[in-house]
Amino acid sequence: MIVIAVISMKGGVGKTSATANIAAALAKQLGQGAVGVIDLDPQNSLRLHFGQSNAVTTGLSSQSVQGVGWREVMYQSEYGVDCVPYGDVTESGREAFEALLEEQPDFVYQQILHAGLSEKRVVLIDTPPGPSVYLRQATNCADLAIAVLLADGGSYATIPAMEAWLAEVQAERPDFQSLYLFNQVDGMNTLGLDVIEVVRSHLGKRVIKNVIHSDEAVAEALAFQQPVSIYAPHSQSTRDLDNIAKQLALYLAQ
Amino acid sequence: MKKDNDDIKKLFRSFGADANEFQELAREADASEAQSRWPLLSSVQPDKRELPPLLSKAEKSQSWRAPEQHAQRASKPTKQAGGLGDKLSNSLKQQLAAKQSNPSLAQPVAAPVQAATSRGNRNTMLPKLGQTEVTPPAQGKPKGMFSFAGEQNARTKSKAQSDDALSSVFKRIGQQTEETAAPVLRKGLLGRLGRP
Repeated sequence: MIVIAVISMKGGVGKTSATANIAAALAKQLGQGAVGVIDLDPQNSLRLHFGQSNAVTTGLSSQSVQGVGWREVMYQSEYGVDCVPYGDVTESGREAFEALLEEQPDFVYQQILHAGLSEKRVVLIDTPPGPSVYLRQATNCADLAIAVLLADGGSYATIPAMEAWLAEVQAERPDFQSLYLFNQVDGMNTLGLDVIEVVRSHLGKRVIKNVIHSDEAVAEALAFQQPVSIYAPHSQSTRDLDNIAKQLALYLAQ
Repeated sequence: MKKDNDDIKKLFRSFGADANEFQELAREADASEAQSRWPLLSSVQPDKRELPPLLSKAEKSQSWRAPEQHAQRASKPTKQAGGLGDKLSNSLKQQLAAKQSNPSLAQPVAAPVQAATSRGNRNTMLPKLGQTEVTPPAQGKPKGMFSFAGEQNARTKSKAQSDDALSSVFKRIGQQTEETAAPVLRKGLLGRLGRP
């Protein structure tokens, strides 16, 4: 099993959509049931990409606080990806869950093992933006972190902070690796292309060669509660995601 | 574009050079051009971890202090301005100095014995507060509301001095307000209605 944490220092970069769509693209590469996703973001929106009914409110947060494993809340989607949603939770419930995560730094990893997710070939973890107890848990058990960026000044300015965080994790775990992925790239935007060029010149191969282009099919796919590769198989973003999945599969095979 | 890259690779190979080096050089040139276009891209270096690393648990416990401790360390700023409050405090100091120069005025005022007896024994509560008895005035006779005429005169004189000090303050304030505010004549209700 390889655990990939999808992270960002800034909100609104399309991290959850990227997580869901990369997972679906990897499932196409690796086969049905080979990919699992865990939603560690209290927004609890990752499950929507895989068609889970909004009426289902249980998730890993409430299960954890009650001392119950995650297997019972795992949702087996028809898109080849198994999803563990965060779940609807009250403010006090969320605080109790976060306190639990503070107390047990390897809690998520233990739950992955107990829920049978270790049988998967790849598990992706979606995290909320910025440093948090969720990010710490995800990076504690991840083999690889994918930092999602927009090709703009706001995202660019967060890279030093992200690098500082990643360096700290790598100091504790030398085998931990990280990559950068540009999302929602507009090929006609000069600033965006310049940002990508400068980041590539500094970080080299740590920037994933392919980007996810700006494509309205991604937003439409979420509204349709499907991964974009199913909703719009011939779209630009699906092509991008397929290429990224191929690169990741090669990277993970090394 | 891909065909161009292949052509460049073939060209470099024919000269025995590495095409990747050319691509790296071209990328560096593009990046520096991009940085010259956008100030942010040159001011922020993505590979420079300028931020201090996040604190470890041990460091957190060392550096963290309770808010009360921070409050204790903070020094209260001294007041420097010479405003109305300062003038009044100076006046009060003058009053105190006048009292100290005339010791008869500095003594505590005690109620007459008659008054105490007429209102009942009010000293019954005092032992509970740690006092055994009321200290009588030093000059034998009680001084209070109904003091003797001579003492009253001396007091009045001293009070007049302090009043002078206060009145000089208020006079100055009055002058300031007269200077700044235009005189407003308030008319009576009939006057405002234009009736005699």
